[in-house]
Amino acid sequence: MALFGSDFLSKLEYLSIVSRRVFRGKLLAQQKTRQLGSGIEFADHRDYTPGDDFRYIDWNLYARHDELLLKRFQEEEDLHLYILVDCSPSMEFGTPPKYDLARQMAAALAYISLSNLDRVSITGFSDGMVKHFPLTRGKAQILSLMKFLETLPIDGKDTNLKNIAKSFVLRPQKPGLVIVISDLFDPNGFEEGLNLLRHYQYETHVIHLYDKKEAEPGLRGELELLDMENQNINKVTITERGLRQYQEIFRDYLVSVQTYCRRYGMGCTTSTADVAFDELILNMLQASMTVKA
Amino acid sequence: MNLLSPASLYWLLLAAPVVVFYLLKIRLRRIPVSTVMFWNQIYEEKKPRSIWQKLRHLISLLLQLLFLALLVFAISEPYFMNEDLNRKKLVVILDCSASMNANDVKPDRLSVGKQKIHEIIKSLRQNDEMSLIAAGMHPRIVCGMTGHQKTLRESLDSVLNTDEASSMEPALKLARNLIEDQPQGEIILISDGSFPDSSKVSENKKIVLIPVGKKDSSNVGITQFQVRRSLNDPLGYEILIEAINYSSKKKDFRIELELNEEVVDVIPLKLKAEEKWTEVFNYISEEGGILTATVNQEDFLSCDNKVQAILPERKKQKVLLVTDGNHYLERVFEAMPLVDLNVVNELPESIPENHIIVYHKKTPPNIPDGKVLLIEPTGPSQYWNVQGIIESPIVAEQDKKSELMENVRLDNVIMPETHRLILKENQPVHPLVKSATGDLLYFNINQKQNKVLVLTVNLDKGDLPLRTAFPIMVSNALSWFSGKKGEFMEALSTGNMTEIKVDSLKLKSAVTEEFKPVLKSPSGDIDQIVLKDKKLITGILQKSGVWQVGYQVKDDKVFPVSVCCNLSSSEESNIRVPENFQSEKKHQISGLGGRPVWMYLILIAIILTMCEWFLYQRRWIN
Repeated sequence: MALFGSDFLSKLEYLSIVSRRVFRGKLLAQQKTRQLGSGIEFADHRDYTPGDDFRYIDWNLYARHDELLLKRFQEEEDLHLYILVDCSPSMEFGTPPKYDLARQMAAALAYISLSNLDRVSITGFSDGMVKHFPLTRGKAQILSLMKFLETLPIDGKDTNLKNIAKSFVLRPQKPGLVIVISDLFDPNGFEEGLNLLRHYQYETHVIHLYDKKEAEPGLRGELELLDMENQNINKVTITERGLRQYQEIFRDYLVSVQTYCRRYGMGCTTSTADVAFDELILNMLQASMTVKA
Repeated sequence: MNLLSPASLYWLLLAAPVVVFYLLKIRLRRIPVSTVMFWNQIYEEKKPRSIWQKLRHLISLLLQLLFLALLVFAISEPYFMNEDLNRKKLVVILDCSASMNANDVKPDRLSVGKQKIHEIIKSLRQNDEMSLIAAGMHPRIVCGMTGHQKTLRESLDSVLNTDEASSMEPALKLARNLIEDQPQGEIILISDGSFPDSSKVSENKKIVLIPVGKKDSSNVGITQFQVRRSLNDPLGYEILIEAINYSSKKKDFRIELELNEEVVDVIPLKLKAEEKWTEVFNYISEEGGILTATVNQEDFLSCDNKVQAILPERKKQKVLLVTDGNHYLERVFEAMPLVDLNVVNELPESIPENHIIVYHKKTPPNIPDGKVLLIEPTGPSQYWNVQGIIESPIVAEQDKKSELMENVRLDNVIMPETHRLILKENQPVHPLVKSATGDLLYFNINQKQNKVLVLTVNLDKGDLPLRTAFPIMVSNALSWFSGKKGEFMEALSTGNMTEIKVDSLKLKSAVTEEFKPVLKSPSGDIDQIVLKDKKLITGILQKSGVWQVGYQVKDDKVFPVSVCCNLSSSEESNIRVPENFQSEKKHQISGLGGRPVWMYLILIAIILTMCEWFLYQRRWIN
């Protein structure tokens, strides 16, 4: 079954309509920014200074108060959506693999954005950048974007979120919404990477995916554990007690991701990889309003 | 210790693959996981293992090798030398006589005895063998020599209690035959010692005695009970009862006599310790039936508290006396209580059925079929001709053995003017009294269904009617005609068998293939029995009570004959275990519980497997 089949596309269309209805006025292409400029919507007044364009002087106020004030307008510009997809080998784990859902999620979010005339960029990463789809606009780009996602390979070794965040923020681009789709199995910790994004004024939302077998591996006895990320082998003897400890640590890890995101005002969606992407997006939209005006 | 199959030790070579597989087992199963960073928080990564490090699990390996060694050792069937030398052949005799039903030990002596045998069976070693004999009146091999414990247990459970008297000597003889040439043979007798010559058995050092029961158990029992019709009084009957108080105390009780469940008499008795009481009682009853005597006291043994016997019924005989008149003759018949007399002058045209016809001074030319007594025949018949008169015959010869002449002596009797009868040729005549001249004075003709008795004596002239012999002769004659004499149906002792003539079943038709002789026990169980030479052979009657013999035609069962069985054994009623009923020799129970060594080895191997499994699960080996 193809990753982006006809069923997937029809669901995308449905999601686009639903998102428009739910967030009418918030997902329009003319996104309001704090920049004041040449828009048509009045924002406030400021004192006139020499050199200002006479056309923006509020003559009515001058007539009433004998004071030169300049009208300021809200400048409107497109939303920039940056999707960071984890391509590390650990994303291939699970049934179905987390990677499938990650790519479907990326495609769906990109489609919603494109159909609202936003700009979208997708970057695959693991220990560094794997592949990049530059900022694009227009619904017509969705097919090439989906093709990009389909061919996006699993590559690299250990996930390094800090590394990709560092290179991401140094790009000459406008800040916008960054959606990180990953299992966050970063040996150095996911916090530093997300902190960088936050510091560079990117609005960040984390979609944290995991497989049920990661939460409850059901392993016992003497085993060689092969780390899919770095191909390291750990020989362990898993007892009932050890298994219980693992489950506790994993639960704590999921909670720590959510706690971190909540603390810094980031959106966070945690899900297993066996749910349908459309269901997850709807939950996201309703619960955490991932795509903001 | 020796091995039955030492070649099996080659299986120890399997240790090599066990070690190889064990080492291979160290190559762990590889499981891909998305990350090990969480596992690393729990387990420190292990260092790569060398071949010696792999043997850190040496305990586990040793357990496996020990398991293999035990299995191989078990397959080689080890046995101890003394096991072979002391291989036992046991013959266990279980007394299943009536006294073993005593319930002075719970539930009863037989069950306790069986329990002891179960223990012996359990203690049998691998090569030991055992045979089981049930000893009642007749010994019976319940199970032949075998070491198979299940067979022995099942055979033992099939032994049922009986009401038989025990006869131990045949059982011991049988046991000796079974272990005749076995140096390790041993006879074990499980009994209460209530049998004749128990002291002799106790003295026999080759027999191991295991007594069952208590030495002070008291019992009162009826040890003899017989009934018969009186020889003197046709309606009377006599009962012989013997009761014994087998206890150390005086007993006060009653014996109730019942005929067909109607009380005939109640006999109060006070018997001192060890006192025997015997008495013969006379009662009168025309009716027959089952006579029961019951001791109204409960004790440890119940089967000797109730005894039964059959009293034959007395039916009246119809006598048709054809005479011109003879006072003595008529009075003789009238004096007999069981005679229904009818006196006529002339023979009626039709002869009535079931009548004894007595002709006096009258001789029909053709003597009719049936039972006929001719006194002083004056004319010829198909059997004889009359040839003159014997003036004064002297009795010279009497058949004293004949039932017709029982208690009759005619030596000095005067018999003048007796008619001389000359018999025709080839007549089945049996002379009873002959004169000195050889003339027949009293004789009988027995021909198929016809019974003819002839007395040639002139009653009017002689003094025979005045003699006491005359009524006795007539009484004997009537008994001979009826075919019953004394009518004594002996009550059998349990453990015996009896034969019943087919005639006594009063069959209406001939015996066909559908005819099946059957026997009904006192408890109501019906079994087929053997018909041989016109006799029904009951087989051994093991239970006291009333047994019924009969036949089955298709689905109909008829039981016309009853047989009473009683214990009637003073040895069995004395249920106290004799003081000296014990042997110096004791049966040794095997220390290893009677199981072969290989079984224990396998048991240890299984325990080791469980230990290894436990260690593996709990990782104690690490």
